[in-house]
Amino acid sequence: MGKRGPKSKFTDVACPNEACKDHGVAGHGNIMGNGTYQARNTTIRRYICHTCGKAFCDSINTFYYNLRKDESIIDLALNISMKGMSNEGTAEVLKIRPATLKRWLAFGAKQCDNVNATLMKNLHVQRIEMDEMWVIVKKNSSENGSL
Amino acid sequence: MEVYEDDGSWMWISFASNSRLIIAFTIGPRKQYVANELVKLTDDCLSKDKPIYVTDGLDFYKVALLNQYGLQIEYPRTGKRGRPKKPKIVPPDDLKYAQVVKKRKGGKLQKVEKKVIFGEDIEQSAISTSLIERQNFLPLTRQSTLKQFLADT
Repeated sequence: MGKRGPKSKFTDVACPNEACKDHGVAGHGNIMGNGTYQARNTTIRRYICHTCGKAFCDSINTFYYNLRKDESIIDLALNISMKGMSNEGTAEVLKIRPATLKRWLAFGAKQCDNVNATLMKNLHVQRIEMDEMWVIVKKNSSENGSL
Repeated sequence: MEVYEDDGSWMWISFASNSRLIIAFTIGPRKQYVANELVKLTDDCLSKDKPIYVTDGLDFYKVALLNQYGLQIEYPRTGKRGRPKKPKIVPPDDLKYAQVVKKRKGGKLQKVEKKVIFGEDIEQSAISTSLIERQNFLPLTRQSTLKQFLADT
């Protein structure tokens, strides 16, 4: 027992390293606390896996991983952007760079894809309607070379 | 192959009408390969039980469904003279597909025809695309948002 009571055992945390033998398995006792750090105005805990020796943090594999801004500002920026305000306008209001907002949007889209790939499986559906809708993306795509 | 005047970027959507869930979407021109991709993306999310597919009168969906679910039948050699029969792709018994074909004259809707393409025992009330058309109306009112989002991501 330490000076401040018993150390927590982190039985609900699993190693995110896919090459690790205990990947995705919680409660094996291989995860130990490895300190904390401050980011996005909160304290984030670090862990270490004693099976593979890799360190990782609370927010790994989440949308907020490796982002420095407050979660509230990130959420607000994405909400405003989704409602149709321009990237430049949103960036100016929230005092961030447009490139940062674009990066957040790209992260958000990627995370949505990951969530969809995980959850949208084995659906029992009785009827599916399919249709196509004309959208104006051609002009934009030729301007910036995407799509 | 049909050529459309409005050949450009289209958003292809598959939609579970009971739960109002967009199952899959893809962006591309009005071409067969995009329809194939949409049907494949949709099928990847579904269980083994095949649902009833309902679309508009675009024939790309019929070919795409046959490509995805169709069974290839090969005819045996008869030993008689003549060219042997080519293999044929037929829909499986449990595939149900219907179309809602709208006929317009001068932009005005004249007639709505419900056609069963594959399968049997499809109720007439189940052959409808009104829910996805209503769903598609919402992004159309927010074209600028959609355009920005697609360009950014």
